Amino acid sequence: MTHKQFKRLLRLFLYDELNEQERASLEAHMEQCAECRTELHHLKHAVDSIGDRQPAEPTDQLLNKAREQLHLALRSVDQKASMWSSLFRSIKTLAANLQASPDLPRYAVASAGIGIFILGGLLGYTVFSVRSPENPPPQIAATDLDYLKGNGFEITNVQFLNPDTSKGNIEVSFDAVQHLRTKGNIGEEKIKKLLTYTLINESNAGVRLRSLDIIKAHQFAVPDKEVRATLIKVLRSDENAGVRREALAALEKFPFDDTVKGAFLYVLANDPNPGLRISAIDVLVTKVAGQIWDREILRTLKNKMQTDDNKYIRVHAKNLLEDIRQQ
Amino acid sequence: MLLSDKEMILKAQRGDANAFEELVRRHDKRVMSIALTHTRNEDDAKDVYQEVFLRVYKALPKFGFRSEFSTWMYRIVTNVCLTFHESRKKNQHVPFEENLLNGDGRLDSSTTNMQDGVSHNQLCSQLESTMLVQQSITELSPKQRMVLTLKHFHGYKIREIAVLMNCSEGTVKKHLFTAIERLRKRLKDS
Repeated sequence: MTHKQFKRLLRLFLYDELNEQERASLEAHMEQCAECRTELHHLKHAVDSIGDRQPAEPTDQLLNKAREQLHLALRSVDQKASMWSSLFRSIKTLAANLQASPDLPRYAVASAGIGIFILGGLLGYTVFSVRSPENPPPQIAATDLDYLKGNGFEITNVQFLNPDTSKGNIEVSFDAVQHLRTKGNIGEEKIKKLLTYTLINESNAGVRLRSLDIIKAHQFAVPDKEVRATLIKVLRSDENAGVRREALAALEKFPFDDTVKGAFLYVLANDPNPGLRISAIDVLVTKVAGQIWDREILRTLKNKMQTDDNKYIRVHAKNLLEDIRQQ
Repeated sequence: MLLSDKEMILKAQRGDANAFEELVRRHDKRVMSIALTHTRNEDDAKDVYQEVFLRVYKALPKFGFRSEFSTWMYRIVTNVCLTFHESRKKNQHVPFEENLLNGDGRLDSSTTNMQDGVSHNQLCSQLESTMLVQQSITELSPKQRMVLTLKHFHGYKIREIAVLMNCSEGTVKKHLFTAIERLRKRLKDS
């Protein structure tokens, strides 16, 4: 190998990318070659100046925020996908029905096709058009107001737009809200769906807490997977610590399987609220008492003992690990 | 018992949202770490993180286990990091100083390894040098920076980087050597 070729190997040598033979040859060459030794020294200085060979360590706070944003983004993707799939399903069903009716006159089939085309156009306009002051909400006639009133709609959020009192002309915008009511047992599907929907979508934390109170008060005859999954979602993504605390308490009532254990470990490892992390430790201790401690719990406790920024949690985790060792 | 990645992927492919979230939690720390090292900015890293997992979510139903899931996913990470740069080319200024200062606008001792007994001049010199290196790294081309991120900070082998970046080992070496050469020249000039 020539001096020039050895010189090219120096950078690979620095990053431990040479095989044994190449490394041995280069080391032998460097013993003889002062120029290569100096070059290696300069290269090492440049590489060392880049910094410690440690990757950037994301903080728990950053990671939690990113997970929260991802959770919302995924939900939005799912909602869009669901809207499109139901539209395509409807069109497919309609097309299949038309095909299955050979007696149907051709003009009827053609009209249906045109209808679908227009529907697609309207839908596209509705979905993709940007609402702006040039696209005001639809105006309604006085008779429509009577209809709304007669059908139990409540008028709220009234706003007067560009009132021209000199001529007596005014423009008003408002929301027409209809209150619906339903009754049923918490074990019924419709009520469960309503409660889980509220937990994920309601913006008022008080209402989410009320849903959790109802779930907590009820002893499900059969552990409900959907309710459990929703509680875990709340634990991972709700921004309100009080709501997460109640979700944790509600989840305690579920059988302590791998999924529930994973949720408690997640809280212990990631929740920004120290009170919740302490609750998670306490629950894990109670649930696993007398059983064999699995590696995942031990690993999380060890990690908490070393890295948690809350002193109480570090001490608590340490004491627990010592207790376990003595068992 | 803890399910393997493969079992989790199969569950996620059948529409199990919790399985997908579990997959995210298994891998997202490293994804975020690469994004942070590459972008050197928390907000940009969060954008990269979200884009990566949205692409994984959309493409997962078609994942056919022809490669390791992690290899497939880190290819997406690499692609997103590189295209993210292209989309931000016009607005590339990164306030490097912010990385070196803490929330109060004071010098962050963890960044400069400040220890008792280090004089003010030494500290300034260290700070200047760190800022110079940071500046030099951000001036590298996206591909050079990606290779440096994966090699220097994450310890990937050159052949692994070639797989992730879908190029030859020779190309990876070229990017790595150019990056080191540029840094060396910059330090020398200063």
